[in-house]
Amino acid sequence: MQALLRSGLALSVLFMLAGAILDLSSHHLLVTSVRFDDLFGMGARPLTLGDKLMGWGILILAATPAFRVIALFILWMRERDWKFVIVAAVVMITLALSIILGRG
Amino acid sequence: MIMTTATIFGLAGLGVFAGLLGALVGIGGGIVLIPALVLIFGINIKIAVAASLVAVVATSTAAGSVYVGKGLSNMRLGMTLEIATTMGGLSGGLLAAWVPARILSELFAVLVIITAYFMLKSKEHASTSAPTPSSTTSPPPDSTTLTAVSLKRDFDGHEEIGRLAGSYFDPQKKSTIHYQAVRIYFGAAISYLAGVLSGLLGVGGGFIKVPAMNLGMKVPLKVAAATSNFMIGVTAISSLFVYFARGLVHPWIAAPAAVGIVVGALAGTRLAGRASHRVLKSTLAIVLIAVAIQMALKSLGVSLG
Repeated sequence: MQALLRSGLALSVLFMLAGAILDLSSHHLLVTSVRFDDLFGMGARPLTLGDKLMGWGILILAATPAFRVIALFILWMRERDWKFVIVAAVVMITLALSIILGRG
Repeated sequence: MIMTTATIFGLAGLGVFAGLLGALVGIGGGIVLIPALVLIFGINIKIAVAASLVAVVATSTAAGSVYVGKGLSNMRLGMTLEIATTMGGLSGGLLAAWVPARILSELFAVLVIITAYFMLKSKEHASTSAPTPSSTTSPPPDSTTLTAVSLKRDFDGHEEIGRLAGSYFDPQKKSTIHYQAVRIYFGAAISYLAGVLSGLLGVGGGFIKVPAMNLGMKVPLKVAAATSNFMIGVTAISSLFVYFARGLVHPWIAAPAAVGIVVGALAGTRLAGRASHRVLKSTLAIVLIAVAIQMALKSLGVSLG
Protein backbone atom coordinates (compact mmCIF):
# COMPACT_ATOMS: atom_id res chain seq x y z
CA MET A 1 0.00 0.00 0.00
CA GLN A 2 2.87 2.35 0.84
CA ALA A 3 4.45 1.60 -2.52
CA LEU A 4 1.20 2.51 -4.25
CA LEU A 5 0.99 5.87 -2.46
CA ARG A 6 4.65 6.69 -3.04
CA SER A 7 4.52 5.68 -6.72
CA GLY A 8 1.40 7.79 -7.28
CA LEU A 9 2.93 10.79 -5.57
CA ALA A 10 6.27 10.44 -7.40
CA LEU A 11 4.64 9.95 -10.81
CA SER A 12 2.36 12.91 -10.22
CA VAL A 13 5.25 15.22 -9.23
CA LEU A 14 7.22 13.98 -12.26
CA PHE A 15 4.38 14.91 -14.64
CA MET A 16 3.84 18.29 -12.97
CA LEU A 17 7.56 19.08 -13.12
CA ALA A 18 7.85 17.98 -16.76
CA GLY A 19 4.84 20.13 -17.66
CA ALA A 20 6.18 23.11 -15.77
CA ILE A 21 9.61 22.83 -17.42
CA LEU A 22 8.02 22.57 -20.87
CA ASP A 23 5.80 25.60 -20.26
CA LEU A 24 8.68 27.60 -18.78
CA SER A 25 11.00 26.75 -21.68
CA SER A 26 8.40 27.86 -24.21
CA HIS A 27 7.58 30.98 -22.14
CA HIS A 28 3.95 29.89 -22.01
CA LEU A 29 2.86 31.05 -18.60
CA LEU A 30 -0.81 31.79 -19.11
CA VAL A 31 -2.90 30.43 -16.27
CA THR A 32 -5.57 28.21 -17.71
CA SER A 33 -7.86 25.55 -16.35
CA VAL A 34 -7.54 21.92 -17.37
CA ARG A 35 -10.62 19.70 -17.52
CA PHE A 36 -11.07 15.94 -17.82
CA ASP A 37 -12.17 16.42 -21.42
CA ASP A 38 -8.95 18.27 -22.31
CA LEU A 39 -6.85 15.38 -21.04
CA PHE A 40 -8.75 12.73 -22.97
CA GLY A 41 -8.75 14.61 -26.26
CA MET A 42 -12.44 15.54 -26.03
CA GLY A 43 -11.96 19.23 -25.31
CA ALA A 44 -12.07 21.80 -28.09
CA ARG A 45 -9.66 24.16 -26.34
CA PRO A 46 -6.05 24.23 -27.51
CA LEU A 47 -3.76 23.44 -24.58
CA THR A 48 0.02 23.30 -24.58
CA LEU A 49 1.70 19.95 -23.93
CA GLY A 50 3.08 21.48 -20.74
CA ASP A 51 -0.40 22.35 -19.46
CA LYS A 52 -1.65 18.87 -20.37
CA LEU A 53 1.25 17.21 -18.54
CA MET A 54 0.59 19.31 -15.45
CA GLY A 55 -3.10 18.39 -15.70
CA TRP A 56 -2.16 14.69 -15.93
CA GLY A 57 0.06 15.16 -12.88
CA ILE A 58 -2.91 16.45 -10.88
CA LEU A 59 -5.16 13.69 -12.24
CA ILE A 60 -2.61 11.01 -11.22
CA LEU A 61 -2.41 12.57 -7.77
CA ALA A 62 -6.22 12.53 -7.51
CA ALA A 63 -6.37 8.93 -8.76
CA THR A 64 -3.91 7.66 -6.14
CA PRO A 65 -6.41 7.56 -3.22
CA ALA A 66 -8.95 6.00 -5.61
CA PHE A 67 -6.46 3.21 -6.42
CA ARG A 68 -6.05 2.73 -2.69
CA VAL A 69 -9.81 2.07 -2.44
CA ILE A 70 -9.57 -0.43 -5.32
CA ALA A 71 -6.55 -2.13 -3.68
CA LEU A 72 -8.49 -2.53 -0.42
CA PHE A 73 -11.50 -3.83 -2.35
CA ILE A 74 -9.27 -6.57 -3.85
CA LEU A 75 -7.54 -7.28 -0.51
CA TRP A 76 -10.83 -7.73 1.35
CA MET A 77 -12.17 -9.85 -1.48
CA ARG A 78 -9.18 -12.19 -1.05
CA GLU A 79 -9.87 -12.30 2.67
CA ARG A 80 -13.56 -13.01 1.93
CA ASP A 81 -14.50 -10.10 4.18
CA TRP A 82 -17.66 -9.51 2.14
CA LYS A 83 -19.16 -6.84 4.36
CA PHE A 84 -16.20 -4.56 3.66
CA VAL A 85 -15.98 -5.58 0.01
CA ILE A 86 -19.48 -4.05 -0.32
CA VAL A 87 -18.41 -0.97 1.67
CA ALA A 88 -15.43 -0.40 -0.68
CA ALA A 89 -17.67 -0.97 -3.71
CA VAL A 90 -20.12 1.71 -2.52
CA VAL A 91 -17.22 4.17 -2.12
CA MET A 92 -15.97 3.32 -5.64
CA ILE A 93 -19.46 3.89 -7.05
CA THR A 94 -19.69 7.28 -5.27
CA LEU A 95 -16.31 8.32 -6.72
CA ALA A 96 -17.44 7.25 -10.21
CA LEU A 97 -20.64 9.25 -9.69
CA SER A 98 -18.60 12.36 -8.83
CA ILE A 99 -16.88 12.15 -12.23
CA ILE A 100 -20.16 11.53 -14.08
CA LEU A 101 -22.24 14.14 -12.21
CA GLY A 102 -19.38 16.64 -12.23
CA ARG A 103 -19.26 16.58 -16.01
CA GLY A 104 -23.03 16.97 -16.22
CA MET B 1 -3.74 35.79 -15.56
CA ILE B 2 -0.10 35.64 -16.63
CA MET B 3 2.30 33.74 -14.41
CA THR B 4 5.65 35.26 -13.65
CA THR B 5 8.54 33.50 -11.97
CA ALA B 6 7.79 35.64 -8.91
CA THR B 7 4.16 34.43 -8.83
CA ILE B 8 5.23 30.79 -9.10
CA PHE B 9 7.71 31.18 -6.26
CA GLY B 10 5.12 33.18 -4.34
CA LEU B 11 2.55 30.36 -4.67
CA ALA B 12 5.08 27.68 -3.74
CA GLY B 13 6.31 29.79 -0.81
CA LEU B 14 2.74 30.29 0.35
CA GLY B 15 2.23 26.51 0.15
CA VAL B 16 5.35 25.88 2.25
CA PHE B 17 4.18 28.44 4.80
CA ALA B 18 0.65 26.98 4.97
CA GLY B 19 1.93 23.39 5.24
CA LEU B 20 4.48 24.33 7.90
CA LEU B 21 1.97 26.21 10.03
CA GLY B 22 -0.63 23.51 9.57
CA ALA B 23 1.72 20.78 10.75
CA LEU B 24 2.99 22.87 13.68
CA VAL B 25 -0.40 23.75 15.12
CA GLY B 26 -2.30 20.67 13.95
CA ILE B 27 -4.66 22.15 11.37
CA GLY B 28 -4.93 21.53 7.64
CA GLY B 29 -3.00 23.91 5.38
CA GLY B 30 -6.15 24.87 3.46
CA ILE B 31 -7.38 27.19 6.18
CA VAL B 32 -4.26 29.33 5.58
CA LEU B 33 -3.87 28.70 1.84
CA ILE B 34 -7.36 29.65 0.65
CA PRO B 35 -7.64 33.11 2.24
CA ALA B 36 -4.09 33.93 1.09
CA LEU B 37 -4.88 32.90 -2.50
CA VAL B 38 -8.03 35.04 -2.43
CA LEU B 39 -6.70 38.08 -0.58
CA ILE B 40 -3.06 38.23 -1.76
CA PHE B 41 -3.24 36.76 -5.25
CA GLY B 42 -6.80 37.90 -6.06
CA ILE B 43 -7.81 34.39 -7.14
CA ASN B 44 -11.51 33.42 -7.32
CA ILE B 45 -12.43 31.46 -4.20
CA LYS B 46 -13.70 28.45 -6.23
CA ILE B 47 -10.32 28.16 -8.00
CA ALA B 48 -8.61 28.58 -4.61
CA VAL B 49 -10.79 25.80 -3.13
CA ALA B 50 -9.87 23.50 -6.05
CA ALA B 51 -6.16 24.25 -5.48
CA SER B 52 -6.58 23.55 -1.78
CA LEU B 53 -8.27 20.20 -2.52
CA VAL B 54 -5.25 19.23 -4.67
CA ALA B 55 -3.01 20.19 -1.74
CA VAL B 56 -5.19 18.20 0.69
CA VAL B 57 -4.86 15.07 -1.50
CA ALA B 58 -1.08 15.57 -1.79
CA THR B 59 -0.63 15.98 1.98
CA SER B 60 -2.89 13.06 2.81
CA THR B 61 -1.09 10.81 0.32
CA ALA B 62 2.36 11.83 1.59
CA ALA B 63 1.44 11.45 5.28
CA GLY B 64 -0.71 8.37 4.65
CA SER B 65 2.23 6.26 3.61
CA VAL B 66 3.77 6.81 7.05
CA TYR B 67 0.57 5.90 8.88
CA VAL B 68 -0.14 2.79 6.84
CA GLY B 69 3.33 1.50 7.65
CA LYS B 70 2.80 2.00 11.34
CA GLY B 71 -0.53 0.21 11.21
CA LEU B 72 -2.34 2.90 13.14
CA SER B 73 -4.92 3.67 10.49
CA ASN B 74 -8.00 1.44 10.65
CA MET B 75 -8.94 1.13 7.01
CA ARG B 76 -12.18 -0.77 7.59
CA LEU B 77 -13.37 2.01 9.88
CA GLY B 78 -12.10 4.64 7.46
CA MET B 79 -13.76 3.03 4.45
CA THR B 80 -17.08 2.63 6.30
CA LEU B 81 -17.15 6.32 7.24
CA GLU B 82 -15.88 7.10 3.74
CA ILE B 83 -19.29 6.14 2.34
CA ALA B 84 -20.67 9.18 4.17
CA THR B 85 -17.73 11.53 3.51
CA THR B 86 -17.54 10.83 -0.24
CA MET B 87 -21.29 11.40 -0.51
CA GLY B 88 -20.80 14.60 1.48
CA GLY B 89 -17.84 15.61 -0.70
CA LEU B 90 -19.85 14.99 -3.85
CA SER B 91 -22.77 17.02 -2.44
CA GLY B 92 -20.40 19.84 -1.42
CA GLY B 93 -18.66 19.86 -4.81
CA LEU B 94 -21.95 20.01 -6.70
CA LEU B 95 -23.30 22.63 -4.31
CA ALA B 96 -20.21 24.81 -4.79
CA ALA B 97 -21.07 25.18 -8.47
CA TRP B 98 -24.39 26.80 -7.53
CA VAL B 99 -23.39 28.84 -4.50
CA PRO B 100 -22.16 32.36 -5.41
CA ALA B 101 -18.48 33.09 -4.64
CA ARG B 102 -19.61 35.83 -2.23
CA ILE B 103 -21.55 33.35 -0.07
CA LEU B 104 -18.65 30.87 -0.18
CA SER B 105 -16.30 33.61 1.08
CA GLU B 106 -18.67 34.36 3.94
CA LEU B 107 -19.03 30.67 4.84
CA PHE B 108 -15.26 30.31 4.73
CA ALA B 109 -14.86 33.33 7.01
CA VAL B 110 -17.18 31.66 9.55
CA LEU B 111 -15.19 28.40 9.29
CA VAL B 112 -11.91 30.30 9.85
CA ILE B 113 -13.32 31.99 12.95
CA ILE B 114 -14.55 28.64 14.36
CA THR B 115 -11.10 27.12 13.69
CA ALA B 116 -9.41 30.09 15.38
CA TYR B 117 -11.75 29.74 18.38
CA PHE B 118 -10.91 26.04 18.81
CA MET B 119 -7.20 26.80 18.40
CA LEU B 120 -7.38 29.31 21.23
CA LYS B 121 -9.39 26.91 23.39
CA SER B 122 -7.43 23.72 22.74
CA LYS B 123 -4.68 22.47 25.01
CA GLU B 124 -1.10 23.08 23.95
CA HIS B 125 -0.38 19.45 23.14
CA ALA B 126 -3.69 18.60 21.46
CA SER B 127 -3.38 18.00 17.77
CA THR B 128 -6.36 16.74 15.79
CA SER B 129 -4.94 16.49 12.28
CA ALA B 130 -1.27 16.11 12.99
CA PRO B 131 0.57 14.30 10.23
CA THR B 132 2.65 12.02 12.41
CA PRO B 133 1.79 9.62 15.17
CA SER B 134 4.40 11.20 17.42
CA SER B 135 2.55 14.50 17.51
CA THR B 136 -0.75 13.04 18.65
CA THR B 137 -1.67 12.62 22.26
CA SER B 138 -2.17 9.34 24.04
CA PRO B 139 -5.75 8.10 24.04
CA PRO B 140 -7.69 8.53 27.26
CA PRO B 141 -7.96 5.23 29.15
CA ASP B 142 -11.74 5.03 28.81
CA SER B 143 -11.58 5.15 25.02
CA THR B 144 -10.08 1.72 24.68
CA THR B 145 -11.27 -1.77 25.37
CA LEU B 146 -8.44 -3.64 26.99
CA THR B 147 -8.87 -7.35 26.53
CA ALA B 148 -6.49 -10.27 26.68
CA VAL B 149 -8.49 -12.19 24.12
CA SER B 150 -6.53 -13.37 21.12
CA LEU B 151 -8.02 -11.64 18.09
CA LYS B 152 -8.10 -12.62 14.46
CA ARG B 153 -6.25 -9.86 12.67
CA ASP B 154 -5.45 -8.95 9.10
CA PHE B 155 -2.16 -8.63 7.21
CA ASP B 156 -0.55 -5.94 9.29
CA GLY B 157 -1.99 -7.22 12.52
CA HIS B 158 -3.80 -4.08 13.62
CA GLU B 159 -7.41 -4.39 12.54
CA GLU B 160 -9.88 -7.22 12.81
CA ILE B 161 -11.50 -8.91 9.85
CA GLY B 162 -15.24 -8.34 9.60
CA ARG B 163 -15.41 -5.82 12.48
CA LEU B 164 -14.68 -2.19 13.20
CA ALA B 165 -12.12 -3.07 15.82
CA GLY B 166 -8.39 -3.38 16.14
CA SER B 167 -5.33 -2.92 18.26
CA TYR B 168 -1.99 -1.15 18.30
CA PHE B 169 1.10 -1.14 20.47
CA ASP B 170 1.49 2.01 22.55
CA PRO B 171 5.21 2.54 23.27
CA GLN B 172 4.43 5.02 26.07
CA LYS B 173 2.23 2.54 27.93
CA LYS B 174 4.30 -0.41 26.74
CA SER B 175 1.13 -2.37 26.09
CA THR B 176 -1.16 -3.35 23.24
CA ILE B 177 -4.32 -1.26 23.14
CA HIS B 178 -7.47 -2.92 21.80
CA TYR B 179 -10.50 -0.93 20.70
CA GLN B 180 -13.95 -1.38 19.24
CA ALA B 181 -15.71 1.44 17.37
CA VAL B 182 -19.27 2.15 18.55
CA ARG B 183 -22.15 4.43 17.34
CA ILE B 184 -21.41 4.03 13.62
CA TYR B 185 -24.46 6.03 12.52
CA PHE B 186 -23.38 8.98 14.64
CA GLY B 187 -19.91 8.80 13.05
CA ALA B 188 -21.45 8.57 9.59
CA ALA B 189 -23.64 11.64 10.14
CA ILE B 190 -20.66 13.73 11.32
CA SER B 191 -18.54 12.35 8.47
CA TYR B 192 -21.17 13.43 5.93
CA LEU B 193 -21.04 16.95 7.34
CA ALA B 194 -17.22 16.91 7.17
CA GLY B 195 -17.47 15.78 3.54
CA VAL B 196 -19.83 18.63 2.62
CA LEU B 197 -17.47 21.15 4.25
CA SER B 198 -14.52 19.61 2.41
CA GLY B 199 -16.25 19.79 -0.97
CA LEU B 200 -17.64 23.25 -0.43
CA LEU B 201 -14.70 24.97 1.24
CA GLY B 202 -11.65 22.85 0.31
CA VAL B 203 -10.62 21.83 3.83
CA GLY B 204 -9.81 18.34 5.07
CA GLY B 205 -12.44 18.29 7.81
CA GLY B 206 -10.22 16.34 10.22
CA PHE B 207 -11.04 18.81 12.99
CA ILE B 208 -14.63 17.47 13.00
CA LYS B 209 -13.99 13.78 12.30
CA VAL B 210 -11.20 13.16 14.80
CA PRO B 211 -13.16 14.32 17.89
CA ALA B 212 -16.27 12.53 16.55
CA MET B 213 -14.36 9.26 16.23
CA ASN B 214 -12.48 9.72 19.50
CA LEU B 215 -15.23 10.99 21.79
CA GLY B 216 -18.33 9.72 19.97
CA MET B 217 -17.16 6.38 18.61
CA LYS B 218 -14.64 5.50 21.35
CA VAL B 219 -11.73 5.12 18.95
CA PRO B 220 -8.28 5.95 20.43
CA LEU B 221 -7.04 9.38 19.37
CA LYS B 222 -3.96 8.04 17.57
CA VAL B 223 -6.09 5.67 15.50
CA ALA B 224 -8.71 8.39 14.89
CA ALA B 225 -6.07 10.86 13.63
CA ALA B 226 -4.45 8.27 11.35
CA THR B 227 -7.80 7.00 10.05
CA SER B 228 -9.02 10.55 9.44
CA ASN B 229 -5.90 11.24 7.40
CA PHE B 230 -6.57 8.17 5.26
CA MET B 231 -10.16 9.35 4.77
CA ILE B 232 -9.29 12.98 3.96
CA GLY B 233 -7.58 12.06 0.68
CA VAL B 234 -10.49 9.95 -0.57
CA THR B 235 -13.04 12.56 0.56
CA ALA B 236 -11.14 15.35 -1.18
CA ILE B 237 -11.08 13.54 -4.53
CA SER B 238 -14.86 13.00 -4.48
CA SER B 239 -15.24 16.78 -4.79
CA LEU B 240 -11.96 17.39 -6.65
CA PHE B 241 -13.30 15.27 -9.54
CA VAL B 242 -16.28 17.65 -9.73
CA TYR B 243 -14.01 20.73 -9.72
CA PHE B 244 -11.80 19.04 -12.33
CA ALA B 245 -14.75 18.31 -14.60
CA ARG B 246 -16.04 21.88 -14.26
CA GLY B 247 -12.73 23.51 -15.28
CA LEU B 248 -11.89 24.98 -11.88
CA VAL B 249 -8.50 23.24 -11.54
CA HIS B 250 -5.72 25.55 -12.73
CA PRO B 251 -2.49 23.53 -12.72
CA TRP B 252 -0.29 26.64 -12.54
CA ILE B 253 -2.02 27.64 -9.31
CA ALA B 254 -2.66 24.20 -7.79
CA ALA B 255 0.68 22.50 -8.56
CA PRO B 256 3.10 25.00 -6.92
CA ALA B 257 0.80 25.41 -3.92
CA ALA B 258 0.39 21.62 -3.48
CA VAL B 259 4.11 20.86 -3.80
CA GLY B 260 4.83 23.72 -1.36
CA ILE B 261 2.30 22.41 1.18
CA VAL B 262 3.80 18.89 1.14
CA VAL B 263 7.32 20.29 1.64
CA GLY B 264 6.07 22.61 4.40
CA ALA B 265 4.11 19.85 6.14
CA LEU B 266 7.15 17.54 6.12
CA ALA B 267 9.34 20.31 7.55
CA GLY B 268 6.65 21.20 10.10
CA THR B 269 6.44 17.59 11.25
CA ARG B 270 10.16 17.59 12.04
CA LEU B 271 9.91 20.91 13.88
CA ALA B 272 6.69 20.01 15.72
CA GLY B 273 8.37 19.04 18.97
CA ARG B 274 10.57 22.12 19.17
CA ALA B 275 8.36 25.16 18.57
CA SER B 276 6.31 26.84 21.27
CA HIS B 277 2.84 25.77 20.22
CA ARG B 278 0.92 27.96 22.64
CA VAL B 279 2.39 31.23 21.34
CA LEU B 280 2.20 30.03 17.73
CA LYS B 281 -1.43 28.93 18.08
CA SER B 282 -2.52 32.16 19.74
CA THR B 283 -0.75 34.28 17.13
CA LEU B 284 -2.14 32.28 14.24
CA ALA B 285 -5.64 32.35 15.74
CA ILE B 286 -5.55 36.15 15.97
CA VAL B 287 -4.21 36.44 12.39
CA LEU B 288 -6.93 34.04 11.19
CA ILE B 289 -9.66 36.13 12.84
CA ALA B 290 -8.31 39.24 11.08
CA VAL B 291 -8.18 37.31 7.80
CA ALA B 292 -11.77 36.09 8.27
CA ILE B 293 -12.98 39.64 8.88
CA GLN B 294 -11.18 40.86 5.76
CA MET B 295 -12.64 38.01 3.68
CA ALA B 296 -16.13 38.78 4.91
CA LEU B 297 -15.67 42.49 4.20
CA LYS B 298 -14.30 41.75 0.73
CA SER B 299 -17.30 39.57 -0.05
CA LEU B 300 -19.54 42.47 0.99
CA GLY B 301 -17.65 44.79 -1.34
CA VAL B 302 -15.90 46.73 1.43
CA SER B 303 -12.21 47.31 0.69
CA LEU B 304 -9.66 48.08 3.36
CA GLY B 305 -7.20 49.18 0.69
